[in-house]
Amino acid sequence: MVDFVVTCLQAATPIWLAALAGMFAQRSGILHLGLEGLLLSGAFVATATAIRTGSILLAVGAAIVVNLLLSLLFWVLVTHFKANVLIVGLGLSMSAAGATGFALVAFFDTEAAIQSPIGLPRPLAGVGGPLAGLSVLTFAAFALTWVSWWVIRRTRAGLRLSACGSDPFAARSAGVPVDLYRMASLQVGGLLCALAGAELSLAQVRSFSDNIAQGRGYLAFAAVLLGGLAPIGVSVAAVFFGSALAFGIQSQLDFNDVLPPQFVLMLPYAATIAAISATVVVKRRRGEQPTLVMERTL
Amino acid sequence: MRQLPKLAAARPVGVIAASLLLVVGIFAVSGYDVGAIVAGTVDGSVGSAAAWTQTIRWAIPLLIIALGVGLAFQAGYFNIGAQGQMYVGAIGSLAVGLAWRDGPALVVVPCAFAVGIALGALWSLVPGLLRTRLGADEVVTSLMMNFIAVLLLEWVCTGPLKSRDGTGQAATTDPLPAGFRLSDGSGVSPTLLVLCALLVAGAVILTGRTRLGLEIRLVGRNPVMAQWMGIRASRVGLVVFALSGAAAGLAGAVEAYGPSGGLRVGFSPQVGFMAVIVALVAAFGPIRTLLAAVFFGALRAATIYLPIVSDLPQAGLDMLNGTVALWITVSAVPVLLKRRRARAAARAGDQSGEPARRDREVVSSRG
Repeated sequence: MVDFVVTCLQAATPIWLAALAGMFAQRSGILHLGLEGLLLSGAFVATATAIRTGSILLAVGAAIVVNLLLSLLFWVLVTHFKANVLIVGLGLSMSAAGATGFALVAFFDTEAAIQSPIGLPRPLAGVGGPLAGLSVLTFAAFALTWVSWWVIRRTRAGLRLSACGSDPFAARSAGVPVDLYRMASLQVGGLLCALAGAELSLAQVRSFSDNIAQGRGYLAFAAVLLGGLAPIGVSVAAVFFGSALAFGIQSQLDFNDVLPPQFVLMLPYAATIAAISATVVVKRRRGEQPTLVMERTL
Repeated sequence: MRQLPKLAAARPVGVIAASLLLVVGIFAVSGYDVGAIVAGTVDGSVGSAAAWTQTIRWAIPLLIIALGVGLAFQAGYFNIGAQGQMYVGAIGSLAVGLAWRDGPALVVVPCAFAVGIALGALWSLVPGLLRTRLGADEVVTSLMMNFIAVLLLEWVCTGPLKSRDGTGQAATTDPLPAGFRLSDGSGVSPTLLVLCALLVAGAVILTGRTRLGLEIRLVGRNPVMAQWMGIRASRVGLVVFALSGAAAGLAGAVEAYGPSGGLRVGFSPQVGFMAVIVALVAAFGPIRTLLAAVFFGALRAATIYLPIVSDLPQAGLDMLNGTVALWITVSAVPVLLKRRRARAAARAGDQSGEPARRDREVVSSRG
């Protein structure tokens, strides 16, 4: 049982960190469909740097730098060029999927996987016990969730950030530099996605293969919506999605004949649709007008 | 401000040219032979009869889906669930064909297509109903429906319809009887070309010559004004959701009964999303959609051809598609944006109790 919880946490950590990234972006009013791309770029750059330099700090650092630049590009296109936030996000994910696959061949001359000699440190490996297999970033995810909660609920900047998303015009009238807040939240998101990517490639498998993210970025995006943009809610949703992923893989092994794993894996998406519909209905009952994502973002 | 039509056409062309330059630049920096890549791209897309066949083979699904998606966009609904709608359409039509193997082709194939089209429309009506009845965002729900359909296809290909004699890694379904096929493996046949011509003609007539086409445009431009003119906007919304889903379902059935003759896990990835780009590039005009579909079909054909003649990985040209997506809406979206703003303004008016009660109910039911 404890082992299964650990497996779930391991599967959930990349989604969890990426979901926090998506939460910041969406709170500032930007729907972040580029999470998948940032996960891929983070995972590739971290693995490639780890192989070339042999330093885990440099690996994570390089992933962060690349993702900050990509997030900057995303921000410029969305705020200054008024591009459609969803298409740009999907385009970023597509480009990153193509670019990492291309770079895999261009730099490493393989279309399969590249192995890293080093992995992320495991703080409890010396202690032993069931938690020994967890990477440092799983523990960091707990801490970062608390930090996110504190920033959003307890600081002035957090309040302003939320204002940028829920009512950008009012925020602008009150003197909040909306575009700068959006850039800041996208940059935080880039950093978190770099960590998520490093966790994805360097924590357990210690390798990067083409399209390693396999839709985890979109799961993170769904977790943001299911969690209602609240740090704790988003984290719970992300861990639930990660568990569904782990359970889907597990059920493939254990009882393939009874329940096809695909139906377990559908759960997160169905839950998101249900949650969105329920939120809208509740809002209507309260007499509020539900905001559409597109209006909130543009 | 009046926009010059020439400029509007120049923008997408400029975006595509800039993306091409950027990606080719990346290839050059990475040490690939740019001349060979460019020559290979031309050879693989328009260089020979076989290349043209490949181009048209990929243009067909893009065209069919983009025509439907364009209608939804025109009405101001951002339905991005075409990929999933295509998958369920393909699954439904294939199931009919496999279950009724011995039937006469002239009966079975139309039935199978009807089922595929209906399933695509139903899959699209889920986000459509949630949007028009409840006001739940169609962007997110249609995206989620895509992922569910991807898993459904995976289940169908590994479970109920799995090929008995498949030995390879990739899970596939049983092949359809040869008599049911609308084309051979090349994916181009007179039947399919006639179908496409009919669809383009139908779209031209629908948008330019019918009441519904006018209503779609009016609802997209200004839903409140449309309400005041007596158009039931939520019904128009449902119709465009159903039509775009039906088109995607048809594309799935064409894939199953045309080039593939069966289905495999995750077939034609990104076609649904590419069709969205096609529709945006074409700014929803049926003839322009045809041109854009042929262009992106050519790109797709080149993507498959290039790894054969050059050492460039296929991912290299996938990067090009993504880059086009990154920039393309820089020019295309102000149109959509204006519509959204109009709707936001409409709701503001609605909240202040401006319209009469009956109209307000209709407006708010539209979300």
